[in-house]
Amino acid sequence: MLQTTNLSFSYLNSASFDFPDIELKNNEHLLILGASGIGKTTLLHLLAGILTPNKGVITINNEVITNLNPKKLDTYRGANIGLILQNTSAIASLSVYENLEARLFFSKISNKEKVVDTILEQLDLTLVKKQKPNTLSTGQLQRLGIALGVIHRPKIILADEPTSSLDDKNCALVINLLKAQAKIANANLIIITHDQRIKNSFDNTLVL
Amino acid sequence: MNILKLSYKNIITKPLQTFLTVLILSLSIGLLLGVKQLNKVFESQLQQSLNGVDMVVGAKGSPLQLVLSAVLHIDNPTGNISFTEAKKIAKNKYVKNAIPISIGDNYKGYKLVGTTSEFIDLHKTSIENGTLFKKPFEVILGNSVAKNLNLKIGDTFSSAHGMIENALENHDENPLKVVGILKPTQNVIDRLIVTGLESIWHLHEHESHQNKTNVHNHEDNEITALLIKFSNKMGLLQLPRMINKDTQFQAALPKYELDKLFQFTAIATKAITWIAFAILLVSGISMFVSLYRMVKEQAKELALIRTYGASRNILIKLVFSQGFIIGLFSYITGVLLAFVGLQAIFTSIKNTYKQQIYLLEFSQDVLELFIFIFGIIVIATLMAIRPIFKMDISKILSNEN
Repeated sequence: MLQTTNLSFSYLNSASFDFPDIELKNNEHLLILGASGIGKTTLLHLLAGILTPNKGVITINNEVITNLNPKKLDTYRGANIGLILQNTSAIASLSVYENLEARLFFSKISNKEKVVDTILEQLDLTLVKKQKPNTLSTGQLQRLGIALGVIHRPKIILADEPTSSLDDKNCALVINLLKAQAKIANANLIIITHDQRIKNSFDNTLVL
Repeated sequence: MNILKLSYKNIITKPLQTFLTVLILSLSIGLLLGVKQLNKVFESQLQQSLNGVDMVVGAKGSPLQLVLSAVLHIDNPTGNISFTEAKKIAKNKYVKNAIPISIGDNYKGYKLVGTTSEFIDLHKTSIENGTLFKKPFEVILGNSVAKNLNLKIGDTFSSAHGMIENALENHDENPLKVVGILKPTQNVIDRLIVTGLESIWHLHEHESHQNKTNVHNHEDNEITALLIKFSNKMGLLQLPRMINKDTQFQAALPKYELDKLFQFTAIATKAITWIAFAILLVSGISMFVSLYRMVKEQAKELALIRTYGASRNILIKLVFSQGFIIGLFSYITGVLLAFVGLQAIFTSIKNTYKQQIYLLEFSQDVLELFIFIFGIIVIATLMAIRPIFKMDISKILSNEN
């Protein structure tokens, strides 16, 4: 469950953004469409708690995250937010498996029930689990990005342009994977994109 | 997965950079430790070998040489003095005791010292096996001599004239017989062969006959030096001046001479210590640079870790533990380097001077240096983590590359 009210953010020396209010019930997904430079990523980072709004309130599952102090916000983000970046980034010195382990470690979640093995299986990464990120194909790397964003069963999955560099077939595949993972985690999925192809895959859309 | 493991992985991903930092840091650690130990061991070895000898009386010449030859047994004597004249000095009221020694012969490089039983007491040791020498040509062996030459009680050997091993002038006609072996002391006496004064006189008496010069005269017996302990501090003020002025002899004060010697060696030690500190400074900077580069180059990874829920403190811990691993590894390498180097130096000293040397307060130096290195790591980390405080996660993650 996610709710934002009167959210606005301005960078030091450039434009300020006022965002429309968002309200999502449990398991509801949202597609945020908009051209570049309109503040899509800014909104995503506000929701992820890595930017602090100038004004406005974000409530996730009845927790007002805009009121949390930095340390609590870190902990909250680690446990409840899954951020999938446009360009998947992982720790270069670690293997695929170790990256997922590290993700759990920093989110203070133990790898007891073979969480890593399960997600590797689900995202078809088991064969490359010992490889370093820089040896992966684009598709594998993107699936690793998804794995890193969902392995800890977050309440909100935030994906930044997950399909922009993919062909039609893979585009549909990724959207399905994201939806499937959101279902497994029982999470709200929010995708920001300028990719018009995926417009029809979602009931809720917001155009910035 | 934990911070240490991630740090370790990050470090070994950059082997060359890590190798350079470790190399330079461990070299400076090894050098610092080595110089410190050498200096300590050297000074204490010499001080210890003085055994409370306050003054040495011998033939005129270099006072340092007199001390080195008569007390430390590492140089040639300055010459001989008349025993009869020397005994007059021994009677002075400021002299608590005076031990005559006569040196100048060796067996396989181990020096033969003609003296009295007081010489053994002076070196704070006693007979481990056998008895004291009673007759001429009976000798007792310092512990290292017996061990290294594998000599036992009852064995005989012939000494050679001079301070170094040579086979040309052996006193073959008068073999020396081992009657006792001394307890080990880590003292100069370990590498000496001790006998009565008469043995030396008889050895050389024979020599005199051979040369058909000076018929032996008992009044004419010579010794190399007198080792003197003062009965009170007035001796220090009065005796050396008196001897140097009024007699044919020379009086040298071992403490004073060694202090002069240390002043020379101190310059070298200081120079090497400063060089080691300079290298340490450079390695501290190189540690900072490698940590700083890591923070800069891995900015995206660090930002990513923040999105995983890690606080800023966790990132700082990550940087610190990378520095710590590099530092610890360099430290261990450096200490091993110093240890191996020192053992090599000690072995070479043992081969040259027949003196076994041991590390002194090594663990204390090692610990002190550890605290020092730890301080360097902390400073390098504190300087390197600045970008973490200014880090804009959102900006780093939205930059496309």
